[in-house]
Amino acid sequence: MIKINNLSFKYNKNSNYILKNVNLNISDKKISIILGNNGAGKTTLFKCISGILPINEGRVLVDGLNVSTTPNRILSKKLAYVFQVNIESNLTVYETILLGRNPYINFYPTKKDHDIVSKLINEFNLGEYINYSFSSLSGGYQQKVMIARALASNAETFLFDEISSNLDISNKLFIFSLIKELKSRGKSIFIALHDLNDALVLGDYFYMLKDGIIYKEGNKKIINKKNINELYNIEVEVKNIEGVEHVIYKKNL
Amino acid sequence: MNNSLSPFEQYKINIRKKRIALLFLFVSLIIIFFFSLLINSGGLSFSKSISTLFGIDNTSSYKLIIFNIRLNRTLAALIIGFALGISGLIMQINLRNPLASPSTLGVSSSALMGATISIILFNDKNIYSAPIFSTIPMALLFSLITITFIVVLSRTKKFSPSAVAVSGIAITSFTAAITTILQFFASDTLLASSVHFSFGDLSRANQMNNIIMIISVFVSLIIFMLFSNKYNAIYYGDELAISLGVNINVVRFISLFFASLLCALSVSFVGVIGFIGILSPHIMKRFIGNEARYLIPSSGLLGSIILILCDIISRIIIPNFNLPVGAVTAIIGAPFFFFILISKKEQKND
Repeated sequence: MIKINNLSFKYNKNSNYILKNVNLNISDKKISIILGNNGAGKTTLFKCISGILPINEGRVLVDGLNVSTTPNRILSKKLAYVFQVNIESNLTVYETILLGRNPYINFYPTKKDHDIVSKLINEFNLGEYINYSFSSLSGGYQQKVMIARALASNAETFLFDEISSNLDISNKLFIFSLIKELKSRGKSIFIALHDLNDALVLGDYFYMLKDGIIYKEGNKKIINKKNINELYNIEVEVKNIEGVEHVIYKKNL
Repeated sequence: MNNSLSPFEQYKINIRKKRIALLFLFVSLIIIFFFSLLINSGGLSFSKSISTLFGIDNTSSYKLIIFNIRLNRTLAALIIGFALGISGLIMQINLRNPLASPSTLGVSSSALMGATISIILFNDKNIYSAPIFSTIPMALLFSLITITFIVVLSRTKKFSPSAVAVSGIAITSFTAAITTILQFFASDTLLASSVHFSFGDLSRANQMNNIIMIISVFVSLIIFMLFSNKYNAIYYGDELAISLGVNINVVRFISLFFASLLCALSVSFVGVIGFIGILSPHIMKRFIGNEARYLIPSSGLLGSIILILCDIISRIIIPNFNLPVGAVTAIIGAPFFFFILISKKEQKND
């Protein structure tokens, strides 16, 4: 569960506010999705929630813990953050997923840590890549490894920043079904997405972020022609095809 | 890869390879260590060395050569090679920069500048004569100033790895210039001792220094090993490390402090020995990957092996002369480093 009260953020004193008086309530057993342009402040918001950026104005609570006063190690047991990494790493796939157990490991990983990692490797079909270095994998597989790593921490709350962009269709659907399963296990999930149709498939509750302000929030109904036009400045049609809402982009290229 | 094995078994195979590599390095080190006790440019022959080492020949002057001079020197090579190997690796991990090492960041040359100030301005004849301004604290002070400067630059100005390396070049030039100016105004005797100090030369090794060095390496190694999980997270960047519960500022500060300490002590005791701090971790990353729990000790062991080997070469290459070992490590290290860079093979799978 994430509760945000009056969060405002700027990178330094003289710059403009990236987030302006944001109030959010990410509840359990729901998939909440945040939509917005590049630069709207989605990633900044996620970094504030996960304690990466210091919070000076407002308050963020994760499972009741105040992010700015809780030590990283305690927070990292509650919250897992998945984002795109573009990093050369010679750690193997196994070692990378094991990193998710880091908050629990003092020096040597225990049998429990290895059991959790092994189970995830089987679930994610990563068996043949166990001893491959992370850098040698394709972007999609790196993404999968990073998601497995996040699950290894047994957190209650998950932040996913643009996770589907590197994945092919089958891997994307695999990750989506996994996220839905997390939801059914009672976890709270907060996702930043660009693809509106992906958002409609996954989401239960939606936030629209524009220039650092939560400009609309609500269920599927807020993804409509008018709001999308105001948010992204594009023309769309939202059609219900066989019971599923679809966003159709109208611009001719 | 055999897919009938469970993930954990496959992981174990990988770990076993790393352990075998560590064992291999350890055994090689012991063999090379004893070999080094037996080899010299002049004086005692190989066969006499063997009989003295194993107590068959009890001639006291032979014993003095083997157990005082050569043992101290070889022990210094072992421990300083180890120190430089792990110091370079820790700098690379914590600055997230493969080009980092005591010599490329200018930490070594800053330590040398500190030592030169101590020798020339405070007339420190041997390294313990003037407590606060003697070479060790001065070398440490300036190497810490440099590493702090680099950390602040790379954090606040978001320096790229190459920008950090270029700053290292600038720092090296600057400190070298100060050292030159000091030497220019120094008396002949002080000039001679400061120039001699700047050579990476293991013949200066003595028991006292070795003990200090062993204690420092031991303490640093324990700290680095305890941080190894955190280092594994730092490979993926500060943000991921923080989200995995790593208190990155504390880890980075403590790590770089001890890495600089090892470098400063090495410079104070035997002068500047380049290339081991960058060469040894790079070779080991190739062979056993980045997992810090195994990479840290193996980089140290390989550093020891390289320095002892270079020391042996420095003793035998010109009969009856001991070349400064710093020259040998650079002459052998530089081409070898190019070889590693050129032969780099990384393939995209999938």
